[in-house]
Amino acid sequence: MGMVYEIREKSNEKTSEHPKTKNTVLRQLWKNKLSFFGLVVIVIWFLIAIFAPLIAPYPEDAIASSHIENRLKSLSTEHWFGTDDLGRDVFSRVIMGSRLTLSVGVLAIFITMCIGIPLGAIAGYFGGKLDELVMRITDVFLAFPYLILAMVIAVILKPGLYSAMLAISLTWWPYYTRLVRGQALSLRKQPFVLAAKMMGLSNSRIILRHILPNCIGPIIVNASLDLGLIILATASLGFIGVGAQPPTAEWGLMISEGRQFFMVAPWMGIFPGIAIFLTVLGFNLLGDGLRDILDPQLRPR
Amino acid sequence: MDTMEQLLNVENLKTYFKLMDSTVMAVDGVSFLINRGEALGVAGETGSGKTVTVNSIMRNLPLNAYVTADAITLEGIDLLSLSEKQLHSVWGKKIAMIFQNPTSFINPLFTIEEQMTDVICFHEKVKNKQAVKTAREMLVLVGMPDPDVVLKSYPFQLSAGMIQRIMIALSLSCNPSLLIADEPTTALDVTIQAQILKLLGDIKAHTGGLILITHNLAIIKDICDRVVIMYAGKIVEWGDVHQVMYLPMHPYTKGLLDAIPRLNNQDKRLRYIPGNIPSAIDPPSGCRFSPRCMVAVPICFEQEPPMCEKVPGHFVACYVIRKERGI
Repeated sequence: MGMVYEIREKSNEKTSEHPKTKNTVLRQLWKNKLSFFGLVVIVIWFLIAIFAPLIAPYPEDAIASSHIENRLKSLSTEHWFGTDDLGRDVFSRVIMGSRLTLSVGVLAIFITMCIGIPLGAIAGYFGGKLDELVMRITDVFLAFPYLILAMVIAVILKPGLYSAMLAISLTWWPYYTRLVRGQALSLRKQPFVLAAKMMGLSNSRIILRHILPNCIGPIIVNASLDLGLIILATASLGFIGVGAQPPTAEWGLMISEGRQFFMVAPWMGIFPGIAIFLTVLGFNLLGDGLRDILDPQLRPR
Repeated sequence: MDTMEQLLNVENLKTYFKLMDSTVMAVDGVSFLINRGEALGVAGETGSGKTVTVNSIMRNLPLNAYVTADAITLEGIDLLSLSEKQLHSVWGKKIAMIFQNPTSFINPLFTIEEQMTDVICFHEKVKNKQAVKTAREMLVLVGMPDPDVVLKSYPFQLSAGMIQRIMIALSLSCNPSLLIADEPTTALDVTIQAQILKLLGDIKAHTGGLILITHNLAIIKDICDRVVIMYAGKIVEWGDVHQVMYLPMHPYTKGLLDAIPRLNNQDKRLRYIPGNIPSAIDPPSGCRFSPRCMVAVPICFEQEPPMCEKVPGHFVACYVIRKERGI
């Protein structure tokens, strides 16, 4: 009798909703207006990036063209953001540049996570000498300011946009390794990991099913905040000259090119700058909002 | 007795933990065996070494632990000599363990179905659909009402009793020969405890053997065939459960049984055994129980009593009994 009573109670309590669906996360994001705004900004940028050739009035300007007769023209109806020193439409270049920025950002963080997360999980779970080795390697990488290290790697890899992306990934992975390793270290002592071990699950299975899923919360938060930083880093490398090379319409490069003409045609540098600002702001706000949502919930028992 | 197949044989197991400047002798010479189809109860107070004993068999000990034994054999396999990798094929498949506090021992992030199919697919190498069917069968086996609802639930939606059933189901899903239950009902309320114990008793037929660890002697009587009483890292008495429970010989066992509160107890005060368990780092010479023993004689403080079979199937390590029975 006691058993039936127990089950009845549970059936009533359980709603049909999956407790951690996207619905819940979106709804909670909506509550925090700022982070929802961040999400909206990001979504708009992604849409712009996807439909860039359709939005930009002169998409060819982003690749390689020059209309010297049109150079350094101020804002007008034909050129919303004016033209640069080669007569290219700044608006089109900013719009098309969003493709590069976003794709490089996403790719960079993806590569970073592919390197950093498995290393961290293995180091934290197995401990011992392996852990020591990985930690010393990350120590070396973390000792350098990331931009300088990225610069060096980008120069070695022959300057270019994708070299910059690779360089950033190679400097960024230690942060994720550290993050995941810390989580793994505490998680491997958890009772359910022991129970899984005693049921005979292999180490790789335990890492995949028990350790990593419990790490996802902090990873997501860090990733969304890092996307903004990575975009800044890409732009910085482009600005310095070791990232995107002319005539690529990369925002950082555009700011760098606009520097010389700042007195005459400030719009060359201002608009790419605003674009970077809006994108990074969007990711920062979104990341902050996600952190508020995900961190307290995902603390392991 | 001869027709019974020997399942687990432990001879002279000693486990000690090396600390910075001392050594903790948690288990100091424990021997027992289990036959197929038997349930062995391991009873003793906190600190007697019950959990360390089974963890030594499972080799689930911290790095500063040292295990020595003359033999630890499960179905003929020498467990002591196995490497970590080989142990992975023993855990789950040959021995399974369920723990106290079931809610801590399940992953809070996945549904029951996901967790059960994970284990089943890993061991049986079957497709997901088949694994779900097996999971459902296992849940029915452990007496879970509404198994389909439970499969889709998350651990936090279920009560501790249900989770313990799930843990039992998970442990049995790989058909182990030996199931070790370390205080499986201590964290549960009494009515659920009764159900889980009944379940364990029924399960005995499915697995080869069961080791039930507890400090609650009453539950051992219900489902165990034989019982081992441990004190301070040593076995003081063991044998057939009815023999030991109804005709205890060792003073410690008698004290434990006396200490069980009875509703019709004439005394106003609860009976207890005075004193504390001895230090595991510096145990007393002679019988470990002698400082607290009411009937100790001088030899008890000098020499450790050997284990002898007083009555067929009933072993005890005590000098006083020897004196009483004139041996």
